[in-house]
Amino acid sequence: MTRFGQEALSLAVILIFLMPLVWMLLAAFKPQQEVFIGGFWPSAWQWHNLADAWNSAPFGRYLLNSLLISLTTTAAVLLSSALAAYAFARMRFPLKAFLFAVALGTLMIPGDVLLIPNFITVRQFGWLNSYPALIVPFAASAFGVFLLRQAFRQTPVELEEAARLDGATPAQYLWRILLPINAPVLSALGILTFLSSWNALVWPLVVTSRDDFRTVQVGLASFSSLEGSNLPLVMAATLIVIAPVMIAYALAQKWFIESAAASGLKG
Amino acid sequence: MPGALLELLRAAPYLLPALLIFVVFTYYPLARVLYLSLTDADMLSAPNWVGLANYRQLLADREFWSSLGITAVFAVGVTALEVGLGLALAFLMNARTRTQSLLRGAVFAPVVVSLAATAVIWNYLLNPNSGPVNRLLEGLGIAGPGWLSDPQTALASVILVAVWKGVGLPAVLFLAGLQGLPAELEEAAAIDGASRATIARRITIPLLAPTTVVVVFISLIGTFQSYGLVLLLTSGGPAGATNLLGYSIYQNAFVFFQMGLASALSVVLFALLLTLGIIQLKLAERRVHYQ
Repeated sequence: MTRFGQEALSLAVILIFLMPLVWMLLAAFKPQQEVFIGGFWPSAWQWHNLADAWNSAPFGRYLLNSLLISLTTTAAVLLSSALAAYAFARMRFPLKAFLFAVALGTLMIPGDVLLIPNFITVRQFGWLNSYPALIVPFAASAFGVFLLRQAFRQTPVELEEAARLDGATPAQYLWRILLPINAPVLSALGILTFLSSWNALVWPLVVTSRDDFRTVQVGLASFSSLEGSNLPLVMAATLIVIAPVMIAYALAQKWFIESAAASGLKG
Repeated sequence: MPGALLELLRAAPYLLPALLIFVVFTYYPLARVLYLSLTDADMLSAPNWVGLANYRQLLADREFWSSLGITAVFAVGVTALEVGLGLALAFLMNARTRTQSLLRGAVFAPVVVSLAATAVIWNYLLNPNSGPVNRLLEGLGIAGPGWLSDPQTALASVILVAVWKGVGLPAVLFLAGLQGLPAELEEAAAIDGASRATIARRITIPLLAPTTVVVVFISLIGTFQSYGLVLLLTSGGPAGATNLLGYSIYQNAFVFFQMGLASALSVVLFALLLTLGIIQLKLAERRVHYQ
């Protein structure tokens, strides 16, 4: 393909992938009657749509819930994965191969197969409509254990020996040296975990029925079915919901993409 | 064995948090869903043992077989498109164009957009009467189809949305694969006078085989889990045209409260995914390495 052909094709592809988001953005600021019949641009930009959407459902609360849940889940996954990965990478203990297989085996059992029994478990714990229901089942990740174990194994053993000589305990070595050295892998795992928690839909839908514990995704889904006829408002709500992640993505695109490329190791 | 026991005790605080979660929220529920599939659980009363009755009911149910067929078409369709387009996009993203960074950002952007937002946006774009997509087609002189509202095109429409949302990941994985290939082979072939198309077909794509195996299975397994789109876009309709297995589990469990039957469906889904997983492991063991 010629240089020119490549440039033209790139532009076309960019347009195809971004167009849906552009249409959403424009519809969010159109007067209601223009959504289906008006021109490409809004005849007059209805900036108040954003405020109207914000005020017609507790989006502030939804955002706060999602933020709290995603941050806690991410921290928990990083911690539990780092601890287990350290044991698997650097400690000697009986049943090690078996326990590692137990951890990795969870990759073969997708969450959707477990939707019903986990719902029943969480209900028995009295966790319906609570934060633990949205955090605890996701607080560990076999992928995380696997990824960090690889990284820890590649960190030179001499570092640990030197730290030991200086009197550091294993926990101190892990916290003060091993984790900071492996910050890039940790941040990749962190981004992937945060994204999947922030974007989760079915589980939060099933275990919450009250606004106080709903996430933005469930909030958006129910807002769109309630206010479906007022499309600019629904699109404005969509904009509110995806804005935080999209802004982070625009600022750190390369970081997101490299984290996703790391997930290829999963296979 | 006091030494071994001591070692285990020393490792326990490190292992327990993760392993406890795995046992309580993965292995125990796996056993429990197997048990529930043999009962008439309905969330209201205590479950009664019914043996294989739920499985017999499924085997005799035309909706179940049609759901399996729809799931297969969806899985194969999405995977084929994601792998094919993903590879093509990776080549384009790897080329030195002026818009390289924007291109990478645009192709990957829908991966970052949530499933719920994707469904809400496409529900508007694909509106059969005068949604933006059909108005664009109208402008080109094409009568747009009914998309999600027509049983003939609903499944294809959901596949289209799923590919828009998902293809960025295969593209990025292929791109990483391309960037990891040694340049010498391609340079040598170019010196020998091979055309760029020949180099891609005879050298680059075969070298990417290990990446391709990974991408195929990540896509395939992902499709079984993307019924959230169906949940919001079509609720399995119209006329059951988009009734994916995953959606069918959700609907039987949380709309009809037939937990026993939905558990049997979950076990079927698990068996399917486990088979795929085993095939992947076998392929990975034998996988071709040219380097």
